[in-house]
Amino acid sequence: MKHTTSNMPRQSRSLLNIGFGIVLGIYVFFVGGIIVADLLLVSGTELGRRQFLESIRHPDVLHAVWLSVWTSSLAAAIALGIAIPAGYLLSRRRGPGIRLMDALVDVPIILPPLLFGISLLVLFQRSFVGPALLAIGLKFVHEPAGIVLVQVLIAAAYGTRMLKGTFDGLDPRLAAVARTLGCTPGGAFFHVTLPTVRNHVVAAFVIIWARALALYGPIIAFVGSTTGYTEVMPVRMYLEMSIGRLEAALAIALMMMALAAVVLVIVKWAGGRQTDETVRMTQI
Amino acid sequence: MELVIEQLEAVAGGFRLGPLDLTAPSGSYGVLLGPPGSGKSVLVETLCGLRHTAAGRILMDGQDITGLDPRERRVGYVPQDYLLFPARTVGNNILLGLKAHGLNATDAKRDMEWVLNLLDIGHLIDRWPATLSGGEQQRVALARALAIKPRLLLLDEPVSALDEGLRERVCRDLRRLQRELEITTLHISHNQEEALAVSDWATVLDQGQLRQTGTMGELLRRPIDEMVARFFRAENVFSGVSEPLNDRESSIDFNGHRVVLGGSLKGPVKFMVRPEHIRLANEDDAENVIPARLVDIGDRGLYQRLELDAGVPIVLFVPSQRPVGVTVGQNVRVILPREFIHVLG
Repeated sequence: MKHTTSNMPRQSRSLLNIGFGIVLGIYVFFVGGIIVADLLLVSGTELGRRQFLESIRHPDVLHAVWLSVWTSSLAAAIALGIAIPAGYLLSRRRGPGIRLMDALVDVPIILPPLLFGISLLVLFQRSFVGPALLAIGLKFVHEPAGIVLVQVLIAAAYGTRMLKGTFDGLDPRLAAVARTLGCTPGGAFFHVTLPTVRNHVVAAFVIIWARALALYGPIIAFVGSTTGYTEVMPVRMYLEMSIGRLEAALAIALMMMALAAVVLVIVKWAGGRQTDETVRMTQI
Repeated sequence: MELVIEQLEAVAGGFRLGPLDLTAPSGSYGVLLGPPGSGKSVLVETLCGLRHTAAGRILMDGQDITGLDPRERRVGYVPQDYLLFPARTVGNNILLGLKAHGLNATDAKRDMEWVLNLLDIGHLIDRWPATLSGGEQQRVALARALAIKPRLLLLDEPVSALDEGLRERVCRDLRRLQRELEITTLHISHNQEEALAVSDWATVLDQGQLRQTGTMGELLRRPIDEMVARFFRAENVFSGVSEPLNDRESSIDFNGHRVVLGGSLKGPVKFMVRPEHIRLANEDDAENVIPARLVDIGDRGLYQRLELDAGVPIVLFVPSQRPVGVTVGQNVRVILPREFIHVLG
């Protein structure tokens, strides 16, 4: 592909770049516009500035921030722990059982989020699952642990789908060569396969963390919203908006954006590695 | 290490390999030849333990390794596209196998340095695979396989991804290394020049079956059947009917021509004469002279390829330094020397 592009006539290449640039520009305009509009609304009026300052100092909001951060981070880590083996298995194995599981993995993606929360509540309250877990001391409904559970179940579906695609694109013979060198199947996976897809795993973590942070419909349905206990940032934001405090809702939205940006930078810095060559090869 | 394959069978989707019987003498360099899709890679993967054996046995120095896991076989494998681990530096590519075999850090480092020096790639130790040239990748893949001190080295088309100039040098290096280390080696190829350059012996695989095993000289000059003959570009394969002339010689009638050869043969036969063994006849030549018309002359660098029509196509090679003195369309006479007529099957 690299050669094809470099062999293209200069004019065709610049036309292609201009075309792609226009598409990207329109998209970025809207995404950037959202952030700028929020900032202008919050900072442009006295009311906005006051509600913003009130919000970021309010103990309930600070609790919601902390709750959102730890639940989504824990959920993303657990979801990644599910998505890596699940994605690998769905990619490498064949059979009717695998096809069925492949279809079921998509349920949390396809189902409307609120319906997913309600269905989960039905599973816990109208089947043996909830009482059985309760019997061993695991409480989820109306508990912070329930937030993590909802986030894990939904985020893992996105992570699995992403990583299955990644493993599909990875030559299975890499692990086979490692086995001829003396590695066990596990050794080949952890020493060769996983490091090879490291950047994709980091990307999957960022996406599923953001997905978990942004969830509110299924959380309201399964956990509810008790201020200072199970109220996460998106739920707080939704409630602020429902009582007409748009500036306060946007203040929380801006905090979420800032938080997401910080996490993105940290994760990219800590985990995302690109060699000069991969950067060079992607500059087409 | 002597490799013995007994009635080996393997299945890959709808493809069935074998049953195969093959012996690779200890310390020998063998070349497995065959057209694409003949099952060469399936055989290599089966020998590595990456593919289940449907039937038969694989023995290494008498030890049955058929059921062993790939990591227990100690078979060095260099894939066609090298498959270096992209997330590991050259040094770490080599160290992986050493550590997997339980070597401590000091011993692993010592063995890594040995193999880096052996292949003269010490300067690449900290490089990432994506930054290496094809030749460098090939050497690193070979170093990675040799580092574990394999009992058997499997090279899957090791030079096919390299440019023409580099191939010959790498083949020489492979041969030198194999002799130095005395590792039983099986080199997969579809190129006869490559096989001539490196092999002690060679075998031809076609449609999952081994057709013929022997030295390259035997395969080239005495192919067992038309498939092997055509694989080695023996372009002149003819069908005719043989009749014994006496106890020691026979004649073959084909396409209105007659040739005489040694041996007593009767009935329908297929025979071949390699293009380099056919020559333009002199006036005093009388035996096995075939009249033909020259239809094409092609320059092949070291030789010229003459295509003749004698009712059946005949191809001969003439060294470039010797002018043929004939032009396209001209009638000529060629000789099929009896000593180079080889009856197939």
